[in-house]
Amino acid sequence: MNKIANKDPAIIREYFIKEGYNLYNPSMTIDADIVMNFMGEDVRNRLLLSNSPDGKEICLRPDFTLPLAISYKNNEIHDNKYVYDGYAFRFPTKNEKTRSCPEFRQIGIENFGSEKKIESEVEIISNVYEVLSDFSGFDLRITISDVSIFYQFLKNLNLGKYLFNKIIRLYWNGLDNVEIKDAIQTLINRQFEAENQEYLIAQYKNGSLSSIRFIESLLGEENISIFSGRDPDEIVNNYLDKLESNNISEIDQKTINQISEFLSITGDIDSCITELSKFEDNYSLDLKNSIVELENRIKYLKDINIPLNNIQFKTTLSRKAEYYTGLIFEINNTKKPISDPIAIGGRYDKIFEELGSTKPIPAVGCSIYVDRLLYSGKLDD
Amino acid sequence: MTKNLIIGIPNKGRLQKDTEEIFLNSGLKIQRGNGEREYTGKMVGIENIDIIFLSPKEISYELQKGSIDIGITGLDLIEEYIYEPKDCIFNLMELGFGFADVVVAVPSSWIDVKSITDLEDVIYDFRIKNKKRLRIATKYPNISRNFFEALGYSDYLLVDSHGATEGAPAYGSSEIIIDITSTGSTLKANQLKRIDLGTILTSQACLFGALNTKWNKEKLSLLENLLSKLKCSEKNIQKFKIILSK
Repeated sequence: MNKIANKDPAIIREYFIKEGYNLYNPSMTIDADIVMNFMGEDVRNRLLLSNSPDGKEICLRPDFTLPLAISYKNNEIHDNKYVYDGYAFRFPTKNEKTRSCPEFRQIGIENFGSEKKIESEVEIISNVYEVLSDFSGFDLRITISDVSIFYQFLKNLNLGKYLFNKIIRLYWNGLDNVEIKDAIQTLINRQFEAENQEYLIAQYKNGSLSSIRFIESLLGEENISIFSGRDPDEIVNNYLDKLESNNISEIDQKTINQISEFLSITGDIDSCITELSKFEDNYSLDLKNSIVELENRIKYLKDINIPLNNIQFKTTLSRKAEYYTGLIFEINNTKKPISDPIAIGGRYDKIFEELGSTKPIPAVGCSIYVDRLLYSGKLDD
Repeated sequence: MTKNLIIGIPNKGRLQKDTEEIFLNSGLKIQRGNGEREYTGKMVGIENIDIIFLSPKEISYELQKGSIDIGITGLDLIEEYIYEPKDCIFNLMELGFGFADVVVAVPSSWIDVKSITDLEDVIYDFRIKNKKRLRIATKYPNISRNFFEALGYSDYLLVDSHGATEGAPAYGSSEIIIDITSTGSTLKANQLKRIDLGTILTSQACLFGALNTKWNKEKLSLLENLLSKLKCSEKNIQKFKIILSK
């Protein structure tokens, strides 16, 4: 294909339509509760919020995936492959240099409901790569990761529930391997301090104290009535769990180093796959499924002539959105790198479940940030 | 341009009384126009000072805009209502009254929560279990959001509260709260407790200088005179002048 000289972003949309995606413009406004439930409280002051006459909080769409998924879940649309092109609304973060206004144009594609996991992922990546490589003066690099490899790795370590969840959250916060290692160290050095309550605990365990009475006795107070939606049994059990975990060392230094070593795996895709396999052997872990899936993706990408030199792997690539369930990727222009990727995407099979769908629906997609694309292109001139 | 130095003073309550007292102890008598309803005043025996009585929250906003030159208000209100306070307001001195901590408070019954780290476990479990985020009632949404953002927690929702925040968990409009406390007795009466590392801000009344106002020689010398009577540290006065000269 010829290099596109005038760099009109509409060409991207037309390309996707030609590739079989249906153009759909989802609702401009969305229930703010739904957005907050997905993105968390820290996104609130970046949203464009308003109130409907009945007092409900609504906002302008902060992205396209959410309103599209809502329409799909509500049976308003019935295809599987969608392309969108329009404005989304979010105030830029302090680090975003490519725009100063809250509206930004996104062109992107979604594939809902496809059971062909690897094929649909590779199709998305290759479609986006293909159309972006038509913009002249770009050296594209795809960075990929897979959330499920990290989960599978952690499951191998037989950590307790608390530590497992804590480490998962550190990962989702986008920390690097050194930061995560430090944070785990701090966590395990901390003791859950409790007064000497063996007698009460014994009474609770032999059933002569109810949970509420146990809490009251521990506090030396009566008529405790506020539990804020938590079950007193659960509170007491958590309390006992935490006391218990003071006595056993839940994680040793070797395991912490192993986590850090795993999270430091990054580089070109071929050597990372080799490294992951070695890692698996060295520590007698089972990462087989994840590695095979990674290899399959790469095989497909190779078959459609995406140069492997342009594909990087990075274990700590995460997206601050826990509904991602597998593949995560981003595309950058290495010729003129800007701080944020030009395109981001991945697999988010949990999105429909979080929206209240009773049956699981696979979802994979990618969004191109037009402002970043144009900015990066301009730098080139 | 006015040559008068404009001072914002809290218009009622404890803060007003303590402010007047601290000025009086330094030989500065505040005289309110014609009685309690008058919203302007003078400093007895000192020319060219205008006093405006405003609510502490308004003092924060007026300092930001630069429509008053200096003002007395709580540090918590500056941190809550002013975006990037460093850019428009300078803290000249702490006044030693109006102490209050902005704290995270959870039900006393949550014996498994002793610190912020334990709270994070509950926030996470709550979401998984209830498919809803834990709600935090507060009058301080900005301070709260910045606090949790720095910790990397975002699995919660803020609920606006305009008074009697401590009662929110009791009547079910939130699970936990972020509010000011000085002795902790209101928290205790509502079956709430503070937790380790849950003190977000230690606040007190301070004298703030506005950076967005037009300072001239006359006003600055009036200010220096006033500050030396209040025993403001010389270092802070110099720092303020350096920032203004930039």
